[in-house]
Amino acid sequence: MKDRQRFLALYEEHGPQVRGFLLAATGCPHQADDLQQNVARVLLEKFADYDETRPFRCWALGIARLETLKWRQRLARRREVLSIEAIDLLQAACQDEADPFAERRERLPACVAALPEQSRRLLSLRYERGLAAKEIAGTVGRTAAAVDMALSRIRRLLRDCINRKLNGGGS
Amino acid sequence: MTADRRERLIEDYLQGRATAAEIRAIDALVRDDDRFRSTLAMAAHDEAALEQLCGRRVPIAKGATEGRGIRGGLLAAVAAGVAMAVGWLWLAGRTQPPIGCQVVETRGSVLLLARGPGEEASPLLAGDVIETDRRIRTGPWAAVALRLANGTRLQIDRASEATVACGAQTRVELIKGTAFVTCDRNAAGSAVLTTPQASIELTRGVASVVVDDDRTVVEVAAGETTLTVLGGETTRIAAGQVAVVEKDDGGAVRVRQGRLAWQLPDAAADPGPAVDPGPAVDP
Repeated sequence: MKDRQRFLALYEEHGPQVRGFLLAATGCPHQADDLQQNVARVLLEKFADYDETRPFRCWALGIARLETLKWRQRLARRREVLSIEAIDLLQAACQDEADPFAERRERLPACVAALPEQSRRLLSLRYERGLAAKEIAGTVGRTAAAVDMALSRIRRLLRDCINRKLNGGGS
Repeated sequence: MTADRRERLIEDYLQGRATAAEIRAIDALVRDDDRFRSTLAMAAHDEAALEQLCGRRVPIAKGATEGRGIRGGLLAAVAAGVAMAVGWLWLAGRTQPPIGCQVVETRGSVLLLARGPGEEASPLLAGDVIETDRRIRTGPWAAVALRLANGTRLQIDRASEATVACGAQTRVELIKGTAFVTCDRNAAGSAVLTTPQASIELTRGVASVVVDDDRTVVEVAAGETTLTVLGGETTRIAAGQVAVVEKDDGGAVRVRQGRLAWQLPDAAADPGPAVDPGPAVDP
């Protein structure tokens, strides 16, 4: 029987891939939150049935795909969402190698640390405290559009930094 | 399409700001362009990794572990452990049957309002299930009937706006307009409806609540309710009574109570005009 600690360890390790897939499939952090809740619940409930000879990541992404397709079926009639084919291709993109994003994750902390203090503060407000651009704008004395633009620029800087490190470049 | 344009498209999409046309364009690119697909998957993963690195916390719904059997309690305890260990995991301690608000029926234009910038309001239709706390707005000639997680039935009438808790707790915030609440023997626990002036708890029965012009009118058709003026007194309102919460000339919030000035005709009785049963409050 699998114990709770085993589940926690596996989920902590592979959670970002599930989250990444849900973000890519839904194109909305709020929708991804809702789906993530469902996926976590199903994984927890079905953990006793999990075959440990299979990678946990693939099992979790398989359940994430099913939950996403259910979500899509509910929403497709009233808003634009990705097609089933596109969702399946995105899931395949997330799991076709051992862990295609593990190296990116490893390099992210150093790239964040290299950011200017002001940029790290914006990241903290957005990701740690979960504030919306409008709320951050009130805190830092800028407009919401300016905050959105700044966060967008920071994300781009981080992507470039990770890519440089992966290609053997320095900071 | 230039590389910059693609990057902006992905950025807007992942932040929930893409338009319908942009989502269609992304769908086509994901299907037809391997490089775009892997770039989108990578950007989405980077975003998830950034969230995890910053220790993003989504709280567990308060009270999620209350009132459950042994199996539910264990499941909720495990869920709580997971949520604490994994920063971004959001579990509301769900057990069977699923927590959520079931849309039983809609009439006219009923909207589920956006939760933030980048998200659009979407129409609500019969059969939909709302799984988080959401704000609902009904049009001038619209209404929606919901079945809440604990079995309470709620009808939001025309020109109204309300936030409905569709998680473990049953809670409704009526911002404006009219709501009818039915909490019968099939409902587990009570229903709490708050307005800008008061909090109304209905354990069993049927009540209507109207919010307009800085006042709250509560009419109790069956059962009994407890009305608490925000920051003030608590009053019990029995079936057949009406209470009006409003400010007096001095600006103090007070409650006027009386008997309802109308009665529903009894199907077995003479459908003649209803008799005013006593001192009434004109809402």
